[in-house]
Amino acid sequence: MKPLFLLVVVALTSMGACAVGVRRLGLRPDRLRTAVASMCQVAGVAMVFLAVNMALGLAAVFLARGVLRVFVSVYILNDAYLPLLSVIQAVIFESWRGQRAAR
Amino acid sequence: MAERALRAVGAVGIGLLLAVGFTPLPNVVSYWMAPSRALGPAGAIVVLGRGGVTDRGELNGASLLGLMEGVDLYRRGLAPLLLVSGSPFGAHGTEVERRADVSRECGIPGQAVLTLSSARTTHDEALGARGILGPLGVRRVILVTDGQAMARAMALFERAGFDVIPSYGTPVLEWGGTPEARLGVMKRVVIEAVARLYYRLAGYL
Repeated sequence: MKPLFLLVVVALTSMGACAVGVRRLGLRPDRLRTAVASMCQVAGVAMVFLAVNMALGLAAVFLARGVLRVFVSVYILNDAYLPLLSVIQAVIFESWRGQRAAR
Repeated sequence: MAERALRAVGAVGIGLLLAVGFTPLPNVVSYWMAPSRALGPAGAIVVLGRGGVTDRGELNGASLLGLMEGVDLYRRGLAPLLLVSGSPFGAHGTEVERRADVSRECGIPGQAVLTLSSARTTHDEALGARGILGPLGVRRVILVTDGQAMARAMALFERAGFDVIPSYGTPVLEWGGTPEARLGVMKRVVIEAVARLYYRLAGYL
């Protein structure tokens, strides 16, 4: 029940945003597809950042274990903030890239 | 070209995120990963380390939950010994010390509570358990850990010479759960998949 409720809420606000965008802000409905593609691109960049962050973190953990002989648990990377920070990295990187394209 | 690839990766990622949160996919994968064996009498119950202690030296939720499962199995008379393991770190007492204290507070006789305090990985725990339980003639153990981690832990304990029963016996497929809970299950599944890969590369499995 709860998953369905959440989906209904998000669907309603999405429809509301579409209506405001088209009627008040004059956005073109045919550009929505491009916006979704851009969002997918940001998500893709975020996943690349997450993979690189994880790989670097794991390398550091095993380096500490193997070279420095200090035990560091791999669970140090098990934190909800790592994907969130990866998304922030991706948004900043993509808007930076977008500025170059706009010039 | 790179942009198209990134969009494809992103679309797959978003699709997976929605599938994880809003379908029973994580439940099914987790059920599929959990080994099954009939629960029965054993020589000892082994509660693997999970979560550690808080800064104040109290067991955290996951650690306490695992311990309570072990205590419950002991009270049901399934084994005469309870071996508790855990993180050796903690400024105000370690997970093992607190788990042993709580076990005794729950009414388990002191001589029935054994501790494994030197292990830092599941591999260490299997070897450490063999060192403690082997001389006592214990061959069959009931293992308490996360359902997702059970297959790897069972394989390690079997390699250490034990006959292993998972604490839950036969897993139950649960279809429900909130999107956040399902995301948590999927996170543990992914962590376990990475851990299995590492253990295979390291030659532990």
